[in-house]
Order: sequence, then structure tokens, then C-alpha cells
Amino acid sequence: MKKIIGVATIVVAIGAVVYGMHINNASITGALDSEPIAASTSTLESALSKKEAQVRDFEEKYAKQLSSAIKDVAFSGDEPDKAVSNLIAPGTLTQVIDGGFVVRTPDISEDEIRAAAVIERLEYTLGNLEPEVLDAMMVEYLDNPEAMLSDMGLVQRCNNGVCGYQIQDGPFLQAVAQAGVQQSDTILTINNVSIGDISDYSSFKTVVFSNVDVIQMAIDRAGDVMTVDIPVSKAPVEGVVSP
Amino acid sequence: MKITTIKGRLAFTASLLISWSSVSIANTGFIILGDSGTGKDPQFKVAESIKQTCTVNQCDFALGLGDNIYEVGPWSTKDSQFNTKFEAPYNDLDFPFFMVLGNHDNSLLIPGDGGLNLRGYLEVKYTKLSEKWKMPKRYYSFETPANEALFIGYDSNPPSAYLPAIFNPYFWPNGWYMKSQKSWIKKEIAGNDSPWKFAFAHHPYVTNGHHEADKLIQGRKPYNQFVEDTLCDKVDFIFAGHEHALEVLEPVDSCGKTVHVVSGAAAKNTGRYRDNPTHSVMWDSYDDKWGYFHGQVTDTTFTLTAYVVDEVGDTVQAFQKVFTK
Repeated sequence: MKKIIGVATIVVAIGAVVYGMHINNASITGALDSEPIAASTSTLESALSKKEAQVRDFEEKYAKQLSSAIKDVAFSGDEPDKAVSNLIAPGTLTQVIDGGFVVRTPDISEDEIRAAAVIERLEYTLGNLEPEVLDAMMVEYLDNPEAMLSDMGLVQRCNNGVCGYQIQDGPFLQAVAQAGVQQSDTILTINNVSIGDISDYSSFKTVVFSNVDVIQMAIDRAGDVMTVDIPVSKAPVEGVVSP
Repeated sequence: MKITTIKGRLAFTASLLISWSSVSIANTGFIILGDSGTGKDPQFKVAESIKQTCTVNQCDFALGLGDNIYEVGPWSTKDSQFNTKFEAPYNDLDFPFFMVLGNHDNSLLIPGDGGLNLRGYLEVKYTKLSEKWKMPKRYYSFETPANEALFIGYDSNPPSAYLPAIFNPYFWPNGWYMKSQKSWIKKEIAGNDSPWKFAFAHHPYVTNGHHEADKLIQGRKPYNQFVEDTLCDKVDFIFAGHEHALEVLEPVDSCGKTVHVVSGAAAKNTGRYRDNPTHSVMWDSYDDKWGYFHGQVTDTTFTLTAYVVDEVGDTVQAFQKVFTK
């Protein structure tokens, strides 16, 4: 219980900080894009340089990850086209809307796109687990921290005063199933620290990174408590989900 | 004599049918506007101009080329920005708007960084809440009722983001999402026999504007490669926004016959030339004005007209060209 609240609190805090950045930068961009007649050239250059500086800061903070990602052909676009020609295109849904327009869409729901994205992000995070990478995943939930747990398929469960996360069918389960985790298991500890003792995001990160190669979890499976190790070594990052 | 009369009647009937067909069926008009969602006065002035244009021209729908909700995109499907930056400005325009996502619609840390593709789902889902807003998926196609044209709306954001999704391989510039989109669009184009094929998205393949010189972390190769493999020489026109200006550019060698149109001045006019622009121009406007295009398509012709709107709302027809098959 405390943990879920703690993580949520920190995510909200991150969200608030980032939202603050949004507001500040909105005014920068507004000056850049909306009032060209009033703005002097130097003002425009100043605003542009601030924006570029923020991107530069991002690049510096994540230099290691960027370097790694850019080397990947799927990121940089150096992949031969045969990989695409071998791909089976999504099916097509057709509907006729008002006015007689025949609208066709790929047969992939927005929920499926979200799920695929969440799974690949989680796999990437587990396979490249560093504090900055974990931060980045948290930041993506700035507007709705509860959505993170929901996206992962984790639901809070308490039994006789002991609380944990019950794993439901979803991205988290798909990412860790190979380690032996099953649907409806409830996570009780992470690296030997009880869920209830993890009070905030900082302590959560400390706990997560207290082991080098694995995240050890105690889980409750229908009353039996057992331990599983989630490897955090480099995992395949593409092709997890067929389109 | 009798035979001549019958022939004459047949000819007359045939001409009526052809005339009726060309006027009432095989003829579609539409508006092309981009970078529209500010909710500020210029957006309303452009909307009023479009309304006037559509009183004398056929307007069956509009193409919205992204940056639909400035500056950081919506926060929920019930975000009031959908009203203030779309429904209200276009209240008097009674036709559907086929929309695609822009970089501002997918903001993460910095307005317009394009770093949060998952934010885009809000604009997809808003389709069910609006009578006018049509974004049935992040990428899709539609045909006009008389089948004289195929329109392909595609998502140009993952390979063009200022902050690409480095932590999310699914949305990598050449990750599964883009591969899946590429394969689907290729299939759509290959299976379609419409005389005209148009693609529309937010990011231009070519422009003489400063955005072509953007220093992207991933470089321009992933997006260029996507367009070249998927659309170039297969579609007649690519409509895009992003640069807050109006441009009609000649085809370029790397993209075959395809003509490139930039329409990103429906609410902002801050487009500016990059240093030493190289693309041959049919027409452009980088003035401190706003604007949009109107398209009129038949089986054999496509008429593209540019309208420029000044600060008091006066509109000038600044360019027109008829393209033929």
C-alpha cells in the first residue's frame, strides 16, 4: 500500500515538474511561433537557442542510451528493405462514413498499439536498466500516474494487512513470464524489501538497483510464497510483438 | 435520316450523362490546412476565409495536417482545447476534417518535441466524440465517393521527432510501428485504382523552409527513406505542414513524379527560408500572412489554389494551377 502510494506520489511529483516545464516552454514556443511581427530577431534567436539548449541537455543526459540506440539499425534506418517486404501488413477495416467517403484503417486498435509500445518499452527498460532509463519510463506517465500501473497490468491487492501488486494479463506479465511469473501472482517484495517499506520513488530506485544482474521478487501464488529472479541483462528489443 | 436522328439522340443523351457525371459525381473539392490549433485570432480569421472560399467553391472535406492542438497536445479526450482550438474556430464549416498527428500533438518535455507518441491516442479517440474531427487511426486512407482520388493520411512523427523515442523501440524511427505502417500503406496503394493519389502528413519530405535544416538526433534518413520507399512516385502529391508557410514545389529526383505541397500557415506564419534553399518552386509564400489551399479534383484534373489571408482577414487568391492526367 505504502509503496504504491509512494511510487504514485513521486510520479506525480515528476509530472508536476515536467508540467511546469511545459508551461515555461509553452511561452517560449509561443513567442517563437506566434508573434513574429512583435518579436525582434534577437528574441527569436534567443528563444530558439533555449529550445535547442533543452534538446542538447536531453542529449547530454542520455548520451549513452542515444549512442546505443543510434547504433541499432532499426533506429537509424539503415536496415535493408527486405525486412519490410517480409513483414505481413496489418489487415484492413473498411467503413463508409457520412458523405460517402470510404475510410480504410489498419486492423490494429489503439489499445493494441499502446500495449505493444508498453511491452517494448518495459522490455527495453529491463534490458537496459539504469536509473536514467527508469526515470524516462516514469516521465512518460506524467499526466496520469495511475495509468502506469494500469498499463503494466499491476493491481494493488491486500490480504491480512499485507499488500502487494497482483500481476494480471498485460505487458508486465509478458515481459517477465519467462522468469516463471504467472498471472495472478502477487509481488510481495523486491530485492528482499517489502512492498510496504518502499516509501517513495527514490527508495524504489535504490531497491531496484541494489542487485546488479537480477531483480529478485518474492511472490504469493495462491498462498504459496516463492522467489523469482527477473534478469535485467540485455534483452531483444524488437519483434516482441508482431504487428 | 432516321438513323442519323437516333445517333443524334444517343449523342445528346451521352453528352448529358457525361455532363451530369462530371458535375455531380466525379468532382470533389477540399481544403488543405496545417498547423492550425492555436485557438487565437489568426486561426479564426483563416476559418472565416475558408468559409467564404467555400461559398463559391466546392468543399466536401478538409485535410488537417497536424499540430492540431498547440502547444503540447491534449491531456484527455475531454480537454477543452478540442473545443477552443478546433470545434469553435471551425464551427461554421460544415464538412469533415480528416486529421493527422503533428509534433506538437505528441509533446513530452518540450512543446513540439514529438517525444510522446502515446499522447496521440487522445486525438484518435476524440474522433468518436466529434461530428467533424476524423482521425480514425494514426494512419489510414479514404476514397472520395466517386473514387476519383485516394487519400492516405500517415504518421510522420516517430522518424521526425526532435526527441525520438529512444527508450521505446516500438516507436523507434525505423521500429515496428513504422515498419507496420509502411507495409500497410504499400498494400493500400498497390490495391487501389483511383486516378489520383494524395498523401498527407505533418512533416514535409522537402521544403525550402528552415525545418529542412533541423538537426535531428536520428538524422533525416529514417523519414526520407520511409517516404521514398512508401510514397515517392506512387502518389501524385504529398501535402504536409510543419513549416509555417505555403509552398508548391516541383518534383525532386529522389521522389519521382510526386509534387510537394506545404500548407502550414493556418494559424501561424513564422515560416522562414533556410540558408541556400535548393528546391525548385512553382509558388510559395513566406510573408507575414496566413493561408491554406483549396483542391478540386476530377478524374483527369486537379486544380490547386492558394489563398493568403492578411492581418485584417482580407483574402487574396495568390496561386492557381491545373494539373492533368
